[in-house]
Amino acid sequence: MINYIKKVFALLSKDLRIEFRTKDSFNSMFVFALLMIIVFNYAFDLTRKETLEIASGILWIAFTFSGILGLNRSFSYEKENSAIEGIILSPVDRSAIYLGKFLSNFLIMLLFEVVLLPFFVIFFNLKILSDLPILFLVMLLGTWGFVSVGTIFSAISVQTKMREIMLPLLLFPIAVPIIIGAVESTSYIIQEENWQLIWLWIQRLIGINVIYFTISFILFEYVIVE
Amino acid sequence: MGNKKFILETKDINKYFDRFKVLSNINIKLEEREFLTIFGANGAGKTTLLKIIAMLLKPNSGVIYFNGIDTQRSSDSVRKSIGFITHNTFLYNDLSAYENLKLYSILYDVKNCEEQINIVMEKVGLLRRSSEPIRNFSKGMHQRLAVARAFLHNPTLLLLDEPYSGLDQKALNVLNQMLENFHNEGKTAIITTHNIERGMEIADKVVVLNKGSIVFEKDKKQMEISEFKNMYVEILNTQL
Amino acid sequence: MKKASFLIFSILTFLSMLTALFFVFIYAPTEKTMGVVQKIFYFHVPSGWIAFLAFFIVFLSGVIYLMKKDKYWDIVGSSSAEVGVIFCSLVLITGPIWAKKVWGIFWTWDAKLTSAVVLWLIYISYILLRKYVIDESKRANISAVVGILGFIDVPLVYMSTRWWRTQHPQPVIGGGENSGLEPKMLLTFFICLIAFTLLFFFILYLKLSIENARKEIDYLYKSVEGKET
Repeated sequence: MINYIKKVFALLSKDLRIEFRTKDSFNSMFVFALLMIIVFNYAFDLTRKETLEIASGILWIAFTFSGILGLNRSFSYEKENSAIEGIILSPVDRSAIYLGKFLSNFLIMLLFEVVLLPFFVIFFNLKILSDLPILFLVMLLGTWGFVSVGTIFSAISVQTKMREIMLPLLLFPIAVPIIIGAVESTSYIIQEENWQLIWLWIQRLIGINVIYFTISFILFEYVIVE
Repeated sequence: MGNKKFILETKDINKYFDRFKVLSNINIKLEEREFLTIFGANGAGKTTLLKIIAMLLKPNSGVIYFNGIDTQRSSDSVRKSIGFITHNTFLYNDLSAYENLKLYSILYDVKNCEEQINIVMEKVGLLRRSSEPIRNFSKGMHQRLAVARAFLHNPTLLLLDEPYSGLDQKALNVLNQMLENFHNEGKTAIITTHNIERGMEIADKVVVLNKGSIVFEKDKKQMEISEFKNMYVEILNTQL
Repeated sequence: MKKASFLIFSILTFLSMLTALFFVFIYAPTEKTMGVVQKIFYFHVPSGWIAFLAFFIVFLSGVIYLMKKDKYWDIVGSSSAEVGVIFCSLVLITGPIWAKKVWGIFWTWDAKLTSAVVLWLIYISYILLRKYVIDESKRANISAVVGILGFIDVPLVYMSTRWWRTQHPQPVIGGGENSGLEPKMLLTFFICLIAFTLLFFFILYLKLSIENARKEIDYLYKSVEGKET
């Protein structure tokens, strides 16, 4: 068991180290999201009330569409030199490979979201300081679900001819329940709805996450080996 | 039943890709200290066979015994004892040589990994360049690092898929030296190649694979190289 | 399937479709408020059930394939997907036609329609994926995984959309089709359901036969080329 964790950690460190050195994923995600938020500003002319109503949706669109960029990147450097094959050749549990990738994708995407959030709050003049903890919880859960299926679909799409379109095409229909849950929870936080509603949606998100994470964890090995 | 005398024994290995039979009834027995060279045209099934032995692919039927144990039953210990060299280096360009090897040493449960890494880096002549990202390396340096990676965990069986193509002189020397030491240490290797000279030089046993079947098998000592060359060329000609 | 049973199967399917048409246009009474357009419902709802059934078969074949690694199940899965997507498209085409005439709007993002669109997208992604996978030996594995995740997604989308919609209500199209149906209409509906199901399995069977024939031809072609020993 400790051996297993050690290997997961080694794989996770490998990905984090590469990202820290190149900053490819983070930079592309951040810039893309920023551009999206700016374009939204021009695309809609909103009253204050309307802004509050759709802010959550815009935020999660920015998170998920940019998140795709990071997910794509995470497996593309595994294809360079067929590094992933070298990992598969070694005596490491295939689920450990999934966990390592999942955790690195999760942490990098979460970091990106945390950095983007202040810009979002400023551009949309939101008052969420008091609700930060619960907002972070929602971001954590939404990102967890998105990345759990995102990781397995990224591993799939990198093996196809049209990988740029295959990942969003595969991922978004499956991620709909997660996105609904995340958007709703965030929306209620922004509009300062009662706590029961927020908590209800958080519970639903947790349920969906458990289902998707477990199944992705089990099925991952079939995606990378014959 | 598996015979403990053999390091590797493949019994009736068959492999299909869809309905296309890539390997038919492959039976190979390798003793300790034996180096086997497999010759064959492109598409004969050499890479597929090596991948099956390395457990990257599963055969459709047949069994493989490694040190007398069915590989399907103890895949972890088998993977730990096998090293694989091919034209893909299995390395991360944004990590340093040291970081790449450190990762593999953890995955392969290598003991004293710092020491092992230094030893193997020294052998391939890259010790001085161990801390920069390998993106800057020349192709030959990449190849040498790949050789280091394959030897890092002290495998008992080495699999080399066309190792001589695309190597510069330095990498070639390093590989030959390490293979020679490996041989002297009593370990086993399987090499696939088109290069008759090198392949024959290093072999104890020679096999020719044609369209998925073994069509020729002999100990090198019982062979005439020129006679083999003629026969091999004839086999290749039937492909056209 | 032997020639005799195939003949019976095809005649049965043909007759049932004919029967269904008769029931829909002649036997079933015209709905009071909606008029003739309401009859689209007899095609729309069965298509929806078939679309779901077909993907259930994709899911099941995926699971069996991963357990047994028998390529036969991969073919069943992909064939079911290719037939199912047609029925799913039918749902998405007949729905708005019916809705526009009866309720004045083409579309609403209620649970049923949203799930139908998502299912359609999953079908499309499954089919495109099979086309674009580079390594053919991985195609079956990857398709099975997508089929499994896709199938689990559909009820999740349905539930999430319902939860969402309870907070943001909008018109529900065709809300009460199955409730308060006149006996004649109910009968017609069930006949259509049976006819469509037979039609689905018939087309699926044809598709499977084509795929098997294709494999045979590939096999023969390769053995003629001398690659088969």
